[in-house]
Order: sequence, then C-alpha cells, then structure tokens
Amino acid sequence: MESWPPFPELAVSDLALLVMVAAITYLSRAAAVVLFPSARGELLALVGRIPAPLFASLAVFAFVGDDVVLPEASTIAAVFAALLVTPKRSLGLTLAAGIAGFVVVELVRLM
Amino acid sequence: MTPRAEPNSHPVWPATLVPIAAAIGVFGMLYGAAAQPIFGTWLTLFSSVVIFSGTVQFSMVGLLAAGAGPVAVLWAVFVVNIRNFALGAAVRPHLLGGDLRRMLISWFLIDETVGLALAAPSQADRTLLRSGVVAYLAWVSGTAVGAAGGAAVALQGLASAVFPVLFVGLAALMVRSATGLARAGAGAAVTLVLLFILPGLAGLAPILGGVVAALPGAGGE
Repeated sequence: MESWPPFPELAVSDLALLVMVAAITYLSRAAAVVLFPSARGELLALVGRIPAPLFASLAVFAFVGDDVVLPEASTIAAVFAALLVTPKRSLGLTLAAGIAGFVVVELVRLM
Repeated sequence: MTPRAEPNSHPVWPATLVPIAAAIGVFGMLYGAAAQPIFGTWLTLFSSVVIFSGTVQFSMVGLLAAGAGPVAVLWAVFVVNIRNFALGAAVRPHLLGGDLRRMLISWFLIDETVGLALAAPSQADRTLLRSGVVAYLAWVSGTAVGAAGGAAVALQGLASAVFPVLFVGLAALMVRSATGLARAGAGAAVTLVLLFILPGLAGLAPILGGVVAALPGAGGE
C-alpha cells in the first residue's frame, strides 16, 4: 500500500462539484422523510406494499448489474442457496446460506 | 404519525451487520481505487465523507472517467437520487420524532439500511441509525484504504455476492402473503425488463419495478 500524500492545494472545481453532488444526495434523502407530506389513505397502502417488490427488484439489479450479465457461478450459487432458506424468513440465515453457497463453489473451483 | 408496530419484527443482530459492512467496505475500497486518479487521495476520501452513496459515487466517477462535464454529472446524480424518494416513503411511517430528528437520521438513508429498518419496523429508528453508522464507517474506511492503494480485487467476488443475497433476504422478510410474493416476483420481472429496454436509466429500474408492482391490481390482486 502506498503512503498517503501531503494534504494538497484543493482543486476548487472538483471540490465544488463534490459539494454539489453531496447537497443533491442529502437533500433528496431529507426531502423524502421531512419535506414531503406523509402518505395517507390509498397512498399509505401503496407505500406499505412497496418494500417486498422493491427489495426483490434490488436483488435482481444487484444480481445482474446495470449491464445485465449473468454473474460468476459462485454468485449464482450464493443467491440460489439464499433462496432455498427464504421460507425461514431469517435475514441472518439467508446471509449465512448465501455466503456458504459462494464458498462451496469457490472451493470446488480450487480443487 | 404513529409508527406501525408489527408483531413479527425481526431485530437486526450485530452478526447480520458484519457481512454487510464487510461488503460495503470492499466496495468502498474499489471506489477509492477508481476515484483516486480523478480526484486525488484527499478529495476521494472527502467525497465518501460528504456523499455516502455508492450508487451516486460510482456513477459520478464513471461519467468523469468517460469525459462527461459537471452538468451531465449533476443531472445523473439527480436521476440516481430519485430512488431516495421511494426509500424515504417506505420508511417514513416508521420513523419517530420531529422534522429535525428525521432530517438528521435521513443521512443514513441507503438501500441496505432502509431494508434493515423495514425488517424491524417497530425499531426502525434505532436500526437505521445503528446500521447507518456501521455502513458509513465501512464505506469511508474502505475508501481510505482504496485511495491509498489497497487492493480489494480478491474480495470483490464475495462482496458482489453479498448484496443480491441481502436483498433476497430482505424481500423474503417483507413478503407476508401469496399476493406479496406475487408482487415481489412482478417487481423482479419488471426490473429485469427495464434493465434491458432502458439501460440508460439502470439506476432507476429497481425503484420503478418496485413501485409498479406495488400498484393496485398488480401482483394478481
């Protein structure tokens, strides 16, 4: 690992860009839980239905990536193992099964 | 608004946070290594300290590396951050306290922490804060190691596997009926289709998929 360089003179344009990116990111988070009105009625019901499909969608996105390609065999095994234990509805068990699936395939590859 | 306490709340154990934090740390290292040639070491670290969003930061660095200007970067960042509105809407009913408290805790609003908070809705505040602090420290320290030249390539495969597994587990926790399962399947299918037909909006695809599948009538209801 390289040693850290001395603190440099800041590149103002880069610094300004990062500050603006940070501001947009934080304001979008704060707006979502502070500025926007609370959901009521049918909108509240809709919001209550979002988590399951949202996380299933994020799982697909994390699985295939933004270039939509099949991942490594070990990642496929990890997700398959995780899916097998989903009826138990335990996040810890799902993570453990996923990591175990990944490790098994990696070990088979090494043999 | 009174938070909705649910009887089957699953507390988030520290052991659950370890693999998630480790995966976030590895991706922080990869981000640090990717951003260092563009921003230099100190600004790379600064970016993770003040932004704390892997999706935003990887998008930003990817665009800058491809020669995009500041306006294009800011537009992309705005589009990517639209996902926060859906995350915030989902978790807001479970957050206690006034505007200032929610404003402070919103700093930790990322996919992983919202998922963990919704897994334990009766203690969403505490879970969002606790998992958020862990994720933030992992992200910033990972960035520091990556920006300083640390290599994480050997761990990239495992880190890549942890996130889909995490979201599978979170989706399973949220499914409470056959209709819910159908909605989850519909969300996954819509996301996959959107990724194919709208590759330029890949960062929004999972949010759109999740919201479309939650609409009345979707999921076989």
